[in-house]
Amino acid sequence: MANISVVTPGCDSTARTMKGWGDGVVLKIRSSPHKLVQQLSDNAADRNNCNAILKSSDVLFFFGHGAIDALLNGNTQIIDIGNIVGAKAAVIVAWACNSASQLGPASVQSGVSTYIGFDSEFGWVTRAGNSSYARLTAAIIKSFDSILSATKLQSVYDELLAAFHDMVHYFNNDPAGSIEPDAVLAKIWINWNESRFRLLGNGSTQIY
Amino acid sequence: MDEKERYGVIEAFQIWAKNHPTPDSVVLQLGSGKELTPREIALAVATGTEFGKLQLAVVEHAADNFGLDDILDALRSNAATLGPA
Repeated sequence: MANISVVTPGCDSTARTMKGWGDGVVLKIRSSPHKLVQQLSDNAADRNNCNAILKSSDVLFFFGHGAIDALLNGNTQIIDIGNIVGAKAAVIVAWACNSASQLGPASVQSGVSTYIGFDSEFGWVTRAGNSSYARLTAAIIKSFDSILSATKLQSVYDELLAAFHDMVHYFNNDPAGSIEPDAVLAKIWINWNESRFRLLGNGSTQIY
Repeated sequence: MDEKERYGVIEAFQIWAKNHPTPDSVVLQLGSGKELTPREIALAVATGTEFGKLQLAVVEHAADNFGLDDILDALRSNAATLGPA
């Protein structure tokens, strides 16, 4: 049984959208053999509380904004290499922009076994009638089941890449947007997401 | 992407935004917190803002996989066939 924490700052509209994914993993953890140590949201998602959960959790899920060297609540760095050094957390899954660029590699160098995240911005189309966000959400939620059932993280990562790939080709088959509005915008952004999604460290890690 | 191709991207986004049924409603969210309307996307690409450069990179990457002409044609024709929001 793993001790798992979830950080969902929800500091603005986009972060609240991403918090929905975090709420999803919380529900999955509660119905799994694993223990939810804490979900930190809003003002509780501060650096002191993050220090504490990094010391008490085996796995950390983050859903919010990121910089190349930090995970953020608003403009405040709440997780960076300063509090990852010495952390217990062996796995960090960051649904956030940019953090796999510097924070991910630094985390792995300092002892985190596996870091999953993006090394650039990632995006999704929100237009009514476009299924981009719903498809992305379905892929993310499905990945929680795999992570929590001891699937090797490399396989989880590969499943997510395959889901991105399938989405790109779904929208590629609708070039004129006759089935879904703004299909081409969805296609090029998911294609970008696919290319900037990273697994760093040990892909053989499993969460028991 | 050369200057001619960059101009083609700018023009295609302008046509897309001009003909979009909801040019001032958010159509794209980024994990960084940015939310952009079609008009804002087209303007950013044309003026070379930080997001505009990113959007150009996104198009350039997609062009490697799908061809730039096909993407720009799709943007233009997507605009022409968009239904109500």
